[in-house]
Formats: sequence, structure tokens, C-alpha cells
Amino acid sequence: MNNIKKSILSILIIFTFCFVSRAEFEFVETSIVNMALSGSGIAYIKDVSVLISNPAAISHLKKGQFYAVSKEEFSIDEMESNFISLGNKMSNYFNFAFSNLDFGYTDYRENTYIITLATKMYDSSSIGFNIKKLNSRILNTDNNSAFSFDIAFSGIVSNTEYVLSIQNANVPTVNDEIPRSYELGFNFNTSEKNSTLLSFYKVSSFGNQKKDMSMRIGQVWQTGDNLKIYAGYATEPYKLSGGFSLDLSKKWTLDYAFSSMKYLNPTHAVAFKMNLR
Amino acid sequence: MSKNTVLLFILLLIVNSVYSLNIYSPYSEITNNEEFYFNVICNDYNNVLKLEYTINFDSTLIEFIDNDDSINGLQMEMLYKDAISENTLISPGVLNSVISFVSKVNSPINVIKYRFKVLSGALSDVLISINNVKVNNASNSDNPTITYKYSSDNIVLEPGTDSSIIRASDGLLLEFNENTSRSGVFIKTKLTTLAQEGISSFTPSADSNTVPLNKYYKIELNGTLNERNINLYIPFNLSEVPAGFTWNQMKIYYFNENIMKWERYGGKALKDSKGNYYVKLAVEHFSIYTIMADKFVYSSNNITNMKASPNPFSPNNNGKNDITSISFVLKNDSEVTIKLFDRTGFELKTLLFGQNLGAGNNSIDWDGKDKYGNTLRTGLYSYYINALDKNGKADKKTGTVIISRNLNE
Repeated sequence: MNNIKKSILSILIIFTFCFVSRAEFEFVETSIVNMALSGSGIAYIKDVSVLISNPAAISHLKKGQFYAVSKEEFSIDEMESNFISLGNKMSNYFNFAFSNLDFGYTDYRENTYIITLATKMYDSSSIGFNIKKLNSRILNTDNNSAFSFDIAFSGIVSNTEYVLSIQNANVPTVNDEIPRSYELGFNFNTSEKNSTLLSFYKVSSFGNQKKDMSMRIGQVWQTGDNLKIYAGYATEPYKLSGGFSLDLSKKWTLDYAFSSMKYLNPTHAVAFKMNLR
Repeated sequence: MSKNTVLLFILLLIVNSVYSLNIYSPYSEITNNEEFYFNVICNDYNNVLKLEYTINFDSTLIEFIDNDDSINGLQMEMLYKDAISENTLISPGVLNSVISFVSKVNSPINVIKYRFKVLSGALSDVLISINNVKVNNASNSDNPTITYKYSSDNIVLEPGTDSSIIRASDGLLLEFNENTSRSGVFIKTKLTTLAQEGISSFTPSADSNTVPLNKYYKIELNGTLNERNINLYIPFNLSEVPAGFTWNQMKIYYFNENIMKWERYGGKALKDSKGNYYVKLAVEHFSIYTIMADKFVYSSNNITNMKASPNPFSPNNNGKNDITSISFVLKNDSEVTIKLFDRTGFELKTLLFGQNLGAGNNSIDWDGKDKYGNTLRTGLYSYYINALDKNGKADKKTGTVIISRNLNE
């Protein structure tokens, strides 16, 4: 009963934030840790921040978690994104999260409501689903919306964690077709404190447009009990990134990341994560 | 209404719509000693292999201009490339044109451009008519006409549907990019003097010690351009370049009526393939313009007033808002690079790479396609502009542009 009350409260809180925030459809990075790892960290991150890339990640939640981030891609005002998420343990079997992602500005707005369900399965494996409502508002264009589904499966083989994720699996159409994308990530636990990460991301061809597969490599170093340092590299588009996570207390974690590309201005972002008791 | 009547009515409609020949010209007022043109357009034709007609005109008012003196007969510019024309003056004021198509034409096309000059003694309106039309050797009742109003000094442009460069007063050129932004727009141009405009002296507000070339163009706009730019080309001769300057130091100035001074607008001096010299500048408002040599370089370089218009735009080939113009103002002449990216930072296309652009307003069009020629889908895209001036000072800016393929238009 307590959990149900918390979940209802979570939804109300998220809705309150949704009225002042906005939306998206093409991939927008919501996890600051994943951004610091150039997107290579989907098999490493196990919290609500990464649920768009890997909905199975929230199966590892043992308590409630609240996460909020706001950033401007390439320091461009019009490319502002706001993500807010609240996840919790719903029962002994399922974990649940409700999130909102907002992307754009006055003339171009994308808003995505996300309900995530995830559960642990046999042999340390997990499965997770996102049900997303995509809403689009573009100047001088009729508003459009569609439902979309993501699915992810994660597990461990020979001390290597992996995640296979399919985003927009149903290929929804809003103004145009939203392409399906695939992601395969690995976390090679080289030591207890260090992790080497690798992922591959591919957007399926849509219409007459093709995008090459992106390969991402990342490294995590844990220094002391409270600090983790990240570095990453990605192709297509080429980028270098870095950042850190600092546990301010048992309840609060501060994440920082930067991402640098050849021509566009770097993106800097800060996020706070709160572990609920 | 009986079935037969309906069928007859439909048949009449079909017969009436099968053939039509039209004249298009961007000019409504013309003046002496200037060059103008009109196009002949085929609409609703089926299986046309040969067109023949006479153009009747008053030979005391205009004369046609030969595109190529080295070939016998009057050579006109073929707008439809798979066709040839023979144009013969069969008597004063009667030009006979025979156009042969390589393959059958079944869709509306711009066929041919006729350039003409208004003679110095002409003082009245000019009427041009097309008569004796034959399509595939069969007579046709089309006889389109066009009347140009005579003006002692003005030229009035009514730009049409095509992207085009239109010649106006004394070699002045105006380049239009898209029709959608200029429906009902009239542009009046004339060569003028300071005295005619009631301006007592030339007082520049920018730093320069040079004198203008004493060529002043007045351009007035009736209507709105929906923030779209027009490229202005002001002509000059090498002999007009003041001593101590080079031709590529010519800049455009405009008269600012608020401060009653001439302000530097900038522009890029260029030489075309025929050896003509111009200063090119994208303009958004209209005034009195002149050109002068100018060595001035600002100590710092920067890019300002950057925007895309229209925004959103809809590259869906419906003839409306298919192209956006990315415009910006440069402080100094610069090498400019412009690149387009999607929201993830993936590079889609290089619009310009290290191209020399002049100080002042500049604009470049984007048709919504990537480097492979594929039209991009609805979304928010970013562009990056980098400008490097001759002193090595650089500035870079980023902006966004929206593609909406379902734009209400």
C-alpha cells in the first residue's frame, strides 16, 4: 500500500514538472554519466537516468530514485532538453518509473512521457519496456502525437555485462517516421574499481536517409569511496567526453559531464540524483 | 442537362485546356536604352514537337537583342534545353520563331527567353503580341499579349515564379531566390543623382577618405518580402576604381535617412564570366545605394544578425517555403565556412567551405538536403558559421533551423 501511495505521489510530482518543461523524438542523451562516457555506458549504468537507452536498468533499483537534468546541446539555447524521472520498486517482481523528456524551444517542441516497467529474470538477467507518448508542437504545423515502445534485455556472461536495446521498436509516425534504433552495450569489469565499456548504436535507415553505426568506448575509474571519473570516445558523430560522479551523501549524487565535437560548441551538463529512503 | 450536353461540355473544356501559350515578364514599367526580357511559356500542351508563331511589335520602340553575333539570325536563349529555335525578322516589327523539340513535350515548360532593348526615342507604352501560332503544323487560336508601361526613368519589377537574376536600371542586377516571399511585390529602380534626391553632399558615416563613384541607384519596394533577402549587384568598370585601390575593395553604401549620412553596407566585389564587375550584397531594406572604394578593416571580426528565413521551412517541392535562406552580417571581408548538423551533432552538409564573402549582409540558401542529395525529415537542425578575416581574426556562431514537411502553407 505504501508503494502504491509513493507511486501515485511520483506521478503527481512528475506531472507538475511536465507543465513547465518540454519534449523529443530523435535520441537525446538524458544520462549525464552516459554522456560523460560518450554513450558507451548503457551496460554500466543502473539507474533511472539511462532508462531511455536501457529500460531494463531500473530492474536494479532497490529503493525509490529521483533524477533531474537540464542541458543545452552544443550550448545552443533552442536545443534545450529537460529530463525528470522518478523510479521505484513496485512489487517484488516489477520496478516502475515515470519520466518526462522535453526538447526544443517555443517554435519547436517535443515532449515525451515515458512509463517504464522492468523486472529481473533468471541468471542475473533483466528485461525492461518503455511505453512512450510522443507529442510534437512546431510553429505553423498541426500538433501531432504517437505512441512508441522500447525494449531492452540485459545479462551477464563471463563477468561481462551486456545490454541489447531496441528503441522506437514500432517505428511510430509523428510528423515523419521515427526510425527504429538498436544499441548493444558491454561492461567489461576489469577490476572492482575500473570498468571498460563498449557499445554500438545504429539508427535503422528511414526514407532515403542512412546513418552509419556509431561505436562508443568508455572507461570508468573509481577513486576513493565517493568519486568516479569517466572518459569516453565515440564515432559517428565523432566526440570526446568526460565527467565525474560525486556522492555528496547516501541520498544525493552529483553528476557532471562535458562532450566536445569538432565544430560545434561543447555541451556541459550537471545532474542531481536523489535516492529515496 | 442531357448526357450528350455534359459530354460536349467536358469535350469543350478539354479542347480549351489542351493548348495555351503564355508570355511571362518580370517587368511592368520600362524605360529607354535599357534591356528587358520576356519568356514564352507552354502550358497544357500534349505531344508537342514543333511550335511556330510570329511576334508582332513596334520596331520604332524596341529591338530584339541577339544572344550570339557569330551565328546567323537572331539567337535567343533556350530555356528548355532539348529544343532549338530559328528566329527571323521577316519584316520590321514581325519576328518569326520556329521551335523544334527533340522529343515530345507533355508538361508545362518555359520555352524561350526574348531579350529586347527600348530604343532611345521611344516615348510610349510597348505592346508585344504573339500571333499565327501553329502547334505541330496545325493552326492554333492562342495570341497572348503583354504591355509594358513607359516610364521616363523608372523600371518596375514584378518578379515571377522562377529563381532568377533580373537586370534593372543601368546594369543593376537583382537576384531573387524564391517566389513565395514576393507575391504582389513591386520593386522600382532608377539611376539617380544626389540633386534629384535632395541630398546636398556625400557624407559617409563610416571611416573612409575616398569618394563615391557618382552612381546612385534608388530602389523602392512596394510590398513585403517575408524577410527573404534579395541579392543586389551594383556594376562598375575598372576605370572607375580610384587610384590606390583595387577593384575588390569596392563596397556598397546606402543612404540612412535617419542620420542623413551614407553608411557602409559592405558587399563582395566580383567579376563574372563575361568580364563584368559588380559588388554583390544581400539586402533586406531599400534605399539609395552607391559604391565606393574602401580599405577600412575593423579591428575585430564578428558575425551578427544571423537567422534562417523562412523558419520553419518545408522542402516538399510544393513551390512554397521549399528553401530557407541563412543570412548573417559580417563585419569584415572573410573566408566563411557554413556547416549543417542534426541534433546529435552529426554533420549533414557543408554549405560553404572557406568561401570569400564581403563585409555586410550575406545569405546562402539551403534546400533541406544533405550531402547525398536526400531531403531531410522534420526536425530541428543546427548550423555553424565560421568567419576568418584577413587579419586572422575569427568568429564562429551557431543557430538552428526547423524543417517541417507538414507545414501549413
